Amino acid sequence: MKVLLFGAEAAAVGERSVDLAVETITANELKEHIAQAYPDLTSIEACRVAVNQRFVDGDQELDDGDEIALVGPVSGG
Amino acid sequence: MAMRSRWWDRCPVAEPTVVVAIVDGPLGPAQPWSAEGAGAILSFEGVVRPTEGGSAIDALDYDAYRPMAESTLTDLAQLMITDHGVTAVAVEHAVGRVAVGEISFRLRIASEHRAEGLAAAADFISLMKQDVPLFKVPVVREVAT
Repeated sequence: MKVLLFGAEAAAVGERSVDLAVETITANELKEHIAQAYPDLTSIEACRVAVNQRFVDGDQELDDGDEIALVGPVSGG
Repeated sequence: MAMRSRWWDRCPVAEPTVVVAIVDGPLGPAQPWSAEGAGAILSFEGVVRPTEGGSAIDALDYDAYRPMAESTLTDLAQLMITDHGVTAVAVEHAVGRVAVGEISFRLRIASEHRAEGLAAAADFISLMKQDVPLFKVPVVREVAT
């Protein structure tokens, strides 16, 4: 499952996306997987998951065919 | 032989009510913009401050989840038209490096009267800072030792 990263999260991981060896999981489980794989990503608790460019709840199941993004604290303006 | 006037040459050009642009680098000077029927044009520009979190900085590096940022800004602009009754909204936001003193964000709102424009501007910016996937990373000024 490919997960897009931006801003501080991309900088912490050193990549604009990560590939996780998982199939169907929820948004919360995705964050747990990423936290275990990238312990330097200290902002993970504050991150939200977006599916096809919309934020989803933590219990939302994610599909490998969706566009999935980990969105950190936003700071436009 | 003189060209005959065609009917479509005399039609007014429709101004879009929502304009959203994500721009590489700092925003340049504002281009003329107006909306039919407006009695107030409110313009707000966000400028990079010289400090961030108490540290002196040289710039901010802006990143975006670009397609989502564009669609969310468009949704927000439409919401301002629906909720506040403003006439038109134009938004520009920078991505990439924006130096101290340069413009990173511009919001323009046209409305019939000032009250709904001012309310929409405050609402728009609050919601943008909550839900639009734009991110800034400070470029901290290096102090010579």
